[in-house]
Parts: sequence; C-alpha cells; structure tokens
Amino acid sequence: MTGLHDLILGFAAVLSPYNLLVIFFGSMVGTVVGMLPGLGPSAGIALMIPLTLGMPKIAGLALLVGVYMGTMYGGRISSILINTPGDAPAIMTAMDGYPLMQQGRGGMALGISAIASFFGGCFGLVVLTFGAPVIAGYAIRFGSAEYFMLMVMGLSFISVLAGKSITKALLMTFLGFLVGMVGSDYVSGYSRMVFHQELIEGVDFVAVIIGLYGIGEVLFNVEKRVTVALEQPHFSLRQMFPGAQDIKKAIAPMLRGSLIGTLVGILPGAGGTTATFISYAVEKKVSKTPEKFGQGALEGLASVEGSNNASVPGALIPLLTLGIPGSGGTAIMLGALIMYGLKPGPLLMVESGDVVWATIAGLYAANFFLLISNILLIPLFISLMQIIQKRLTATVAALCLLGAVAINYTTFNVWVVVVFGVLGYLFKKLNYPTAPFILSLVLAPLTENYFRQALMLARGDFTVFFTRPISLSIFLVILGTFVFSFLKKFRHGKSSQAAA
Amino acid sequence: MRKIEMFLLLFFLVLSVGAYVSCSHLPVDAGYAIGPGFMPKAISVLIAAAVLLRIGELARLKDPEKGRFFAEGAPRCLLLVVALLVLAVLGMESLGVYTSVFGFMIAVLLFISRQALVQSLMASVATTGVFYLIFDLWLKLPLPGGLLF
Repeated sequence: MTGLHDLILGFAAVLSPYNLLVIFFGSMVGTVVGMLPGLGPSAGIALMIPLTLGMPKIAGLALLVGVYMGTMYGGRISSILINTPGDAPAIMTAMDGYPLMQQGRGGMALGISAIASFFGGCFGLVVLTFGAPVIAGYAIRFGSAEYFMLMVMGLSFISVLAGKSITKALLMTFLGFLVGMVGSDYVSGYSRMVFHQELIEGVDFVAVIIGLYGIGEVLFNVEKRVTVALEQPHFSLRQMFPGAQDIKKAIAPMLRGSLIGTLVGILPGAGGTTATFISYAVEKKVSKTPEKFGQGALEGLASVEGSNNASVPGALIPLLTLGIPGSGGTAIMLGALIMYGLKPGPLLMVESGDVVWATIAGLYAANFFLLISNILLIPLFISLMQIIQKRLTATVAALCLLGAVAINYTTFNVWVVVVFGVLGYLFKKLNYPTAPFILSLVLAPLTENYFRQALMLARGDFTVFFTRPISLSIFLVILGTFVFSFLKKFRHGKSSQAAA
Repeated sequence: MRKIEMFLLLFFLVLSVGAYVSCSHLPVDAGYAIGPGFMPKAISVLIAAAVLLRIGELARLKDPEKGRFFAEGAPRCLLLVVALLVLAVLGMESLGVYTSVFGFMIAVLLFISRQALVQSLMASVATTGVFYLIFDLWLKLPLPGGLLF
C-alpha cells in the first residue's frame, strides 16, 4: 500500500488552486492541440515547455502531463464529428465514431468515448500507482552495467519499432547521440564539438524539441495546408450522456482496451497508436457481431478510447521507474525532468518521490477535468479550434520564437530552433522518425556516464556487460529484438518477391 | 524525393566526418574507462556506416518514390516562412522580442495565411498581447526589449 500512501501525499502537494488551474489550462490546451491535425502529443508538450520555465517544479510537470493527457482526449472529437483524426491514435476512433455520428448518435459517441477515455486513464493510473514502486524497488538494485544495458535496450526498442526502416531509425538514434554529446565533458573537462561559446553546456534540449516539433510542423502545415471544416454540432447536452444499456455494452470493451493500452504503453517504441490498433483487432475478434465493426459498433469505440488513454500512464511506468521513455512524448517528459534538476532512473522515486507522486496525482486531476470538459465544453473547443486554425502557422511559430528566447534570454537558441525546424520538416517529409533522435539526445550523457562507471568498476573489463546475469539478460533481449526484426524484414522481402 | 534524401544523407556524412575530425585530438581511453573522445568517434563511425547503408538501400530501390518533393507553390511559401523566421531572429536584438514577433505574425498572416490586413493586425496584437501577459506578467520571464518595446 506504499503507492497509495505516496499518492495521498502527492495529492496534498498538487491540490492547490494554482496547480489545479495550471492542470486545467494544460488539459484544455492539450485537447485543442489534439484536435488540430498535424499537432500531436509531442508537439503539444514541446510547445508548453517554455511556459514551465517560470513555474515551480510540480506545477510545471503537472502542466505537461495535463497537455499529454489532453491530446489523447482531443484527437477523438474531430474523428467522431467529421471523420478527420486529430492525431494518429484517433484513426481507429473514426472507424466506429463517425458512422455513429452519421446515424444521428454523435452525441452519444462523444459521451461514451469521453467516459471510455476517463476509464482507460484511471485504469492505467492505478497500474502506475501500484506497479511503479514495485518495479522501482527491483531496479534500485541495478548497477552501472545494468543501467547502461537498459539505456541501450530503450534505444534499440525505439529504433526497431519506430518507423518502417530500421536503417533510418538507427541513423536518427546515432545523430541524436552525437548532438547529445556536444559540449563540455564533465568528467574529463574536455570540450567536444564546441564551435560557439553557447555550446559549452551542450545543445539545449528544449530548443531542439521546439524546432523539431514546433517549427517543423509549422513548415509542414504551410505546405500541406491541412484544415478541418469543423462546425458546431447540432445535438443537445442530454444526448451526450449514454444510457444504462450503452454503458453496460461498453464496460467489458473498455476494460479490455485499458488493459491492452497499459501493457502496450509500457513497451518502448509502441504507444497509443499501436495500442488502439491492437485493441480494436482484439475487440472485433471477441465480439459476437464482428460484422458491425466499422459501421458504428459501440464496443469498438469504447475499446479504442480506453486503450488510447491507458497508454499514457503505461508509457510513464518505464520512464519514472527506469528512466527509459518509450515514445517521443515521454522522451520530452524525460528532458523536462532533467531540466528541473531531477535524476531520471530507478532512484527518481526515492530521491524525488514528492515531485513524482505529485505529477501522478496531477494526472488523476487532469483525467477528471478532461472527463468533465470533454462532455460539457465541446462547443467551446470547436469555437477555439475555428479561431486558432486560421492563424495556426503564425501563432505556433510566434510561440516557438518566444519560447526559445525564454530559455536563456539570448537569440542563440532561436537559431537552434530555426535550424532544427528545417531539419524537422525534412525528417517528416522523408519519413525519418524523430522519437529515436529525441530519446538518444536525452539519454546520451547518461548512457556514456553509466558505460564509463561500469568499466571503471570492472577495471576496464568489457565482459562486465555480459557476465552479470541481469545485464546479460537485457543484452539477450536486445539481440533477440534485432534478430526478430531482421527476420521479419527478410520474410517480408521474400513474400513480396513471391507475390511479384 | 530520392535526390533530396541523398543530399540530406551526404550532409550527415559530412557532419560525421567533421565530428570525427573535431574530436580527433581527444583521448579515447582514460585508464580503466573510456576517454572523452571514445563516444564521439564511435558514434561518428556509426553515423557514416548508417548513411552508407541507407545510400545503398536507395540505390537498390527498383521503384523509387516518384513525384515532386514539394507540393505545388510550396517552395516559395516555405522559403518565405524561413526568411521571415530569420528576419524575426535578426530583429529581436534591435527591435525587441515582442516587436519582432509581432512583425513576424503580421507578415505570416498576410502573405502565408492570406488574411485581410485588419484581421491580421488584430490577431497579431491580440496574440502578442496574450504572450506578453503569459511570459512577462504571469511567469515573470521578462523577454529582452529593444528600440520599440
């Protein structure tokens, strides 16, 4: 019950009017960002990081988790109303959400999806609350060799799972690592790749993510000019409250979806999109009426929304217990933890337990706010989206510029933002995954440090990584992942040749 | 599409060579542990290897993705946005951050979003004002001023 006790202390820290207001603000921003096509959780969190620079730790992190959770709720609105997913995880929401809208049950679809999202979020949070301390308790016994192998495992998983091409993902991982090593090496004191005095402390992580996800998306949207013709819905508030029959039908799918979402969320490189695809497939498989899927099956909608939102707390489990983020969004969260002076890894829950538990309590609060607002404030979100959409390019770019200056009040970081913005645009156009880049950028100093420490303790013996049972097990998992991935690719190649 | 990717890969190759050369003077070992030059050199080599592997993949592609890299009329808009960003950064030190961002917003709204002048002005004033309230008054992060504001 240690998790429950810590959570209560977390609530005590987070339940102040200021923090609650910040969480509410973050949830609202997240919902609108989630509704806008092109801007996903990573962009939402990246754009909000500059705002957290002037906030206390707990409020800043609560804002970011509010945005993260909000984007998961927001994506479903445009999916259901006009069949246009706001982000990738909402693709499956449109499968049954939009047909329900066409059948005149759009209000009910929005209501049940909000309830399923809330249920999924709560399910994942309960697993996080009680599971994280157990994992952290085991991980605390790890040495430098195990930590190093864990970092490599995180990077390997995301390289193999993110994107279609392993070569591209590996290249992005190495590039992120190289950028992460710029600056003064704090062990030896040597400067590495420092071509400007501002680089002595390294390339600022916040500037890089603002560039990649902010300016990069702006440039992409300038070219694509994606707009959503969203109009105010014509149903009453009462229609958004599902009946007892609908709720009864949705409970089992919500539970299954939430379980799948949490488990998939824990896996590095997977995340909400994969979770929704798997849960939809599972739900269709177990359904007695699979033919109704794609034509407005309530079960499909409930399962997908449950899994989507459960994946957020699921993804936070490896981040908070092992210091390994599994997606672009959680990699940015990891960067934010470092920015606040916290040390990610198994000791995080021991050394900074107050902040971690307050952040988890903030997620519970955000989930609650989002349930209420996503039923009562749909017209407001649509009006906000109509206003912002026409000015999205200018507003996001302006926020990026101001955020970059706010990092350390110089224009150097603004140049970094512009450069990484152009690169972000090219990466997106050429399908180079950015999650491995961000993850290795954040993990590079830690990985190098653990590698050094492990070798020092083993007096320069490289076999230390393969002779200790846990590090050897992790190594075998990494090896297995690559072998499996290459075999899959090889088989895929053979089957396409045979088909040709 | 393939040409642009080739250019990007060549840029990464040059980057990896540059990184290796700039770290060539750093020791790779330090007693029992690795030195400060080990990781940058190892990663540079890995980048070069991944780039060459990708170039090989591209060369082997039987059906390269055809079609134009940029959508019609996009290069002009993209260049304009990048140019406006550069001008905004240059203007920050002399005009002040908010003035520069205000000018940037008007230009983007007028020339990229194709909004009317009055609408653009109103939106820019409102947005910059909201940002000022958030950064300077709420978060107490006073951004540098300049000649105008």
